[in-house]
Amino acid sequence: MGPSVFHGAFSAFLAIVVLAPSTSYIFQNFFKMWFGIIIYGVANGFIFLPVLLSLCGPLNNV
Amino acid sequence: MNLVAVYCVFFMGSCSPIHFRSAAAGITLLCVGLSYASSFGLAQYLGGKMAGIHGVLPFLLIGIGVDDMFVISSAIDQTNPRHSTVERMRKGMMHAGSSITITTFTNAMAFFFGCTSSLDALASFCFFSGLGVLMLYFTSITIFTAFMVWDIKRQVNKKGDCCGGCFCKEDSILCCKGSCLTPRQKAYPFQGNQDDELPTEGEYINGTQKFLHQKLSKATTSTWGTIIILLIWILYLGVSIYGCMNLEIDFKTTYFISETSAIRTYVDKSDEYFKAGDIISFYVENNELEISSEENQNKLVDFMDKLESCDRCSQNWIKEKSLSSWFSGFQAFAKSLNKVRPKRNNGMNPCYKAWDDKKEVVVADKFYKCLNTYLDTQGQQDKSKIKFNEEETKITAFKMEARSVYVKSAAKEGVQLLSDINRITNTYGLGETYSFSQRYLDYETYVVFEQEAILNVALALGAVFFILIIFTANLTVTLLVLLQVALVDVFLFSLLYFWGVTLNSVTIVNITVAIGLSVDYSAHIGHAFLTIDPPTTHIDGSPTSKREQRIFKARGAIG
Repeated sequence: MGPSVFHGAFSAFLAIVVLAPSTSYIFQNFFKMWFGIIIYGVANGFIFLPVLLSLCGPLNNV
Repeated sequence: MNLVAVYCVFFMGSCSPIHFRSAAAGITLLCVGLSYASSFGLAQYLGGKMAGIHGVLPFLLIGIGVDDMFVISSAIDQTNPRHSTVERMRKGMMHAGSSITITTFTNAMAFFFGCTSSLDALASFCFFSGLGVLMLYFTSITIFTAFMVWDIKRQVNKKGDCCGGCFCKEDSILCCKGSCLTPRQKAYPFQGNQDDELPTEGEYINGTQKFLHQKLSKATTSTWGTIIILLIWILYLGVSIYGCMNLEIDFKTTYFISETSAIRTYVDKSDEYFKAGDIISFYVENNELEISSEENQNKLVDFMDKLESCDRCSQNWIKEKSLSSWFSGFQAFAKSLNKVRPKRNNGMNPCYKAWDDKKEVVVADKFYKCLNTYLDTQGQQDKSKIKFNEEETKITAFKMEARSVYVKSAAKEGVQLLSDINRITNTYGLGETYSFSQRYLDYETYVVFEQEAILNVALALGAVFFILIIFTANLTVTLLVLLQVALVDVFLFSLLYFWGVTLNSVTIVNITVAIGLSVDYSAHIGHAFLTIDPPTTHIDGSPTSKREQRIFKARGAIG
């Protein structure tokens, strides 16, 4: 699952990078927020969540 | 857009003519385009309205859509290549399908809850994106999946992808000499013989996976890794909370105007040098009201007094002596002409004895005659501020103007100004009195903003919890994923502060989006964790505990 989520996140990142030089307030704002969403989202999903899961994740399968 | 296309082309498949997936990448973007168009049409048909922020919708849909389709294609890649196409699709979709369903429904729920917002732009944006996410789901499980079937058949028949296949072979330099192909991709039916042994699951599928599987997993599941990561997160959370506390709520309509435009320069300079407040107009309208009566004249004077002194305001919002009203001008005019006798030869003075010195009002009988004289002579500038009835015998509406003090923050002072002025006009105004100024547009947004924003985020989180608990049927994982989403929001709020962005209706839309997207990232991982069987055989260097092994695989390989 990891790589596909990672690729998805990275492609979303590429989609918004083009907004960075825009002077429009909405697009600027959008770029900054998405930058944060993707970085934090991936960091939490890939690093923090697994750590928590390995500490207290459930062991039974669904 | 092109960047995304190129990225998809290169990473959806692998670098060999057979495993290259330029056509599938094209279909991905086509699906995103289709769902954008269809959700847009549907939303408009259902009465959705557009605002400036809807311009960012395509990017949102690309973000979510490409993610979903990557999940599908990689899940299918990870099935046993020797099984029949039907079997492979069945297995692949079993994993990818449920994962996508979870994220789609959480996203859609979060967005549709956003529709209940009383901030119209936010509600409409949420409506559009909610439909967009649903449409993405339909296109990716129908068009894209159907295309994948065709794509697998193509791979099995060893036919190249439409572009990559024409000019290079599997092991040519253009395809990195086939070095980036995994053992699984090199095996039959793509290459080799039918009798060759099938590579085990432990053989990595591709480079990204290798990295995530070996390096990152090992680093994060070791004792030190765990401690360091927990420490970093706690520290960062502290910093973030500081940022959140200091985040300002502010918005000016002029943000929407380009920074290089003349209007923007004017507004910025006038704010910087003159700190001028803007002009507030007060409108009084009532067909029944007889302004010439003694009682109403007193009421009007009282109203003007209360406005000028800003009765019981938290701060004096109206600049001193800035209230300009036709009525004060008229009173002064009537007073000055009160004792001027009409000359015998030269016409008359309608204002003669029109002023009652004791009661300090204009005598009702002579009110309109004197007023007409005033409007024709001294008070010509007030003519446009008074509206008479058709017979011109009675005033039906009029307006007054005052200049407000400079208001720095629309969210704090602006809201107070609005409520104070509204209180005065409601208590002391005549007939139907209401006020307006240019910046009221900014102020009005924030009257309900804070409460709305909190409610909205809470509702979205509630939706996430609700859907996750249904689909995963596991409280721990649900709570953990929810924690990630909440953390991402807290981090995001603080990022706004450190990046000099203020919280306003545009940013709050993005916060809702953030919830949707971060669910995507975390839920896929959480779901993979739940559905993976802990491996029975040991992978070299892998951690030993059952939980850690599941993490290992959830993040790295099978999903």
